Amino acid sequence: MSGSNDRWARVKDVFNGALARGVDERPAYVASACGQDDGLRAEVERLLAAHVAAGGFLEIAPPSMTGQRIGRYEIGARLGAGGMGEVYTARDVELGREVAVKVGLSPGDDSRLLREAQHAARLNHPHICTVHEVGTFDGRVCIVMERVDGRPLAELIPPEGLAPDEAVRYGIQVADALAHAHRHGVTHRDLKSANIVVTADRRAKVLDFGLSRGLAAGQLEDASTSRAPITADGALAGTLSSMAPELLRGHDGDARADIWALGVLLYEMTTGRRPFAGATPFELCASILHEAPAPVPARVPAALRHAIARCLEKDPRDRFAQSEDACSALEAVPLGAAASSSWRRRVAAAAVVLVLLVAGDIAWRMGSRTQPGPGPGAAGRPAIAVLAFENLARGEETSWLSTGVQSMLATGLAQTPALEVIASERLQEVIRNTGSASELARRAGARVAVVGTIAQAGAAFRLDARVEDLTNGRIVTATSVTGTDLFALVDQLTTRIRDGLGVRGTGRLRRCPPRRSTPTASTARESMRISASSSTSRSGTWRKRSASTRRSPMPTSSWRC
Amino acid sequence: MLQQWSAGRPDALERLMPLVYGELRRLAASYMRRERPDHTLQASALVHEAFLKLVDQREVRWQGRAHFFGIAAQAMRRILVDHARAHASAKRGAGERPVALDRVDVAADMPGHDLLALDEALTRLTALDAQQGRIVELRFFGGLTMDETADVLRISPATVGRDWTLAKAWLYAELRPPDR
Repeated sequence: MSGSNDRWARVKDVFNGALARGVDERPAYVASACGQDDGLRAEVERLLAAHVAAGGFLEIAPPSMTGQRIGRYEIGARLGAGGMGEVYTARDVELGREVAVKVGLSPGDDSRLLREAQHAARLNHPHICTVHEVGTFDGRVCIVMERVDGRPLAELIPPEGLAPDEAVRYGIQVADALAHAHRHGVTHRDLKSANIVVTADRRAKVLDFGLSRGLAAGQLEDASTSRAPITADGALAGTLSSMAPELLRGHDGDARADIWALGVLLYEMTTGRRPFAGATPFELCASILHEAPAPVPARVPAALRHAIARCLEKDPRDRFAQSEDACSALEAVPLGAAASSSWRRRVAAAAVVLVLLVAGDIAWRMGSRTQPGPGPGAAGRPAIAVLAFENLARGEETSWLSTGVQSMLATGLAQTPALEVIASERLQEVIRNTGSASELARRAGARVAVVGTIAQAGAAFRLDARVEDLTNGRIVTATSVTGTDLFALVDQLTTRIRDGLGVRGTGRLRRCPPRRSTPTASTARESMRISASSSTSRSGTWRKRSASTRRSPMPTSSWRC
Repeated sequence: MLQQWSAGRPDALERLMPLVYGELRRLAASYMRRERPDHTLQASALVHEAFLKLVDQREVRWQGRAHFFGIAAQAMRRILVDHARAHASAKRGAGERPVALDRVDVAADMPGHDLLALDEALTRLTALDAQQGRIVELRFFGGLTMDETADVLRISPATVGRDWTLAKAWLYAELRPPDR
């Protein structure tokens, strides 16, 4: 009996050790850990195969999280469920903002997913759905992320495809997002039109960066040899049809596998069809590996067709070497008149800051696809106009921040000789009258906007701002600053916006000494222990894995100039 | 008996088993009578509700609560297995049909599962690794969360997670031998 117990203990050790490693490292680990013991090795391999195949076996459908409190998040309605888990709306009660929380389905060996989510949390890009926080609750991985309201890109593509201008517009945004992630060493691994959400103002946001576990080797082998009709698993089909040939061959993909997926996406956007198809997963894989996609119609600009073909080279060495290159190629696609009309519906929400710049000596920053732009400001210099920041805290106490930061930033940018500041009242009036940011750009004689937000936690502020070229949706520069000294933050923001635009400032901001107000009730709500509200509710502990930079136990301060 | 148990006599709880079993069975039957197709019965809800019914919580310390769940999970397992047996014999034309537990949602993702086979495999697993057997019983039949299971067994949630993963794989391999 003790012999069998010893043996079981060995099986456990090697099994757990294998699961702590990545899928691709497991075979080598098992081989070395088992040494000459072929029986042990066979048993562990049998169990690992069963583990991969088991999926949701014995897992009781987890109870709804709606109404629960996880850390500082109040969980609201369930938005949907996918292979990885369920997604809920939630409210961050500390920052007073709406977020989305993805809750993993199965407890267990999710340590790798956690690590990847932590990497993804480092990404900060306007076209990537931001991961705010990562942790576990009752053994389930929870990923708190930006709530993106919009529709999946997959649903927006008509049967005949999007207009080339639209396809390029989203293509550039996605390529830019990929470039940012790749620079940070994060690959997406499951980029597809279903993983991209387009907001009402036509911004693409890529979801689930680095969070996809892709397909485990065993699943991939099963899937790619399956002769079952492909409709059996929509998600799998979507994932498979975006997979690069090298992934199907079992190699580890790198950033170039994402570039392949970008090619699939561009093809789908321009033609309304996926480049590779098959009635069964087996046929689909054969098509990806060996067939050339049907030619993209000639109505699509040649430069776009070439970019798509380059992304869809079977050999990764023949593709764009970097996603930046793909981005540049897309930016070079000549576009028709539809380009600027795509901004018609870009209605800036009432309290979004817009810093409008007239392109003068900074035109070169906007890329090669410049169009006849509006004229310079009255003084012949690039003009900037500042509107109110969106204040995410929404508290009565901090409502002054919207206009406060607005006026400080306007003042700061006005210290730049190369820029002309447009009075904010005038811009708000234009927005009121036209409700249109592109109209605003035209009337103000500008083509560039900076959109920004303020978030607050305790005494710490975070200011986010991004400069956008209104004619093509390109991000010219994006920046965020965090700290407790609002004046220093606005200074930094001003400097970074200037740097991003390639202009230099002189002079300094005049600064008033801060006037401290009495501390508000900002107890450091660090207690992560959740007490069940009734004995029939689930008990659990929120274990935070990524520190939010937006917390501070310090009292709130406010200033007045 | 309840007082003895909460006064720290765990053996008293063993004698409570028939009581817990009866209560869980009664609850399950009453859930079924409500005929709410949108509301699937969950083992965890039953166990928690039985706990509320049988125990005055103010009198029970957490350890007592853990013991209760341990017993209730066993009771739930027995109820479901008894039911599966009775159902199997009813199919063969013998005997009356007991509590209709068909819709008890013990395993959302276990199509065509054979509860009796699972019960037997679980008994074999328990012989191999008693802790893993208990974890499966608590989680699958008792509907306890990872943290609750960890509390009952006084081990860390991470250990529960690892053991649960291996136990699932082992049972899966037992019940679904590779046919290719």
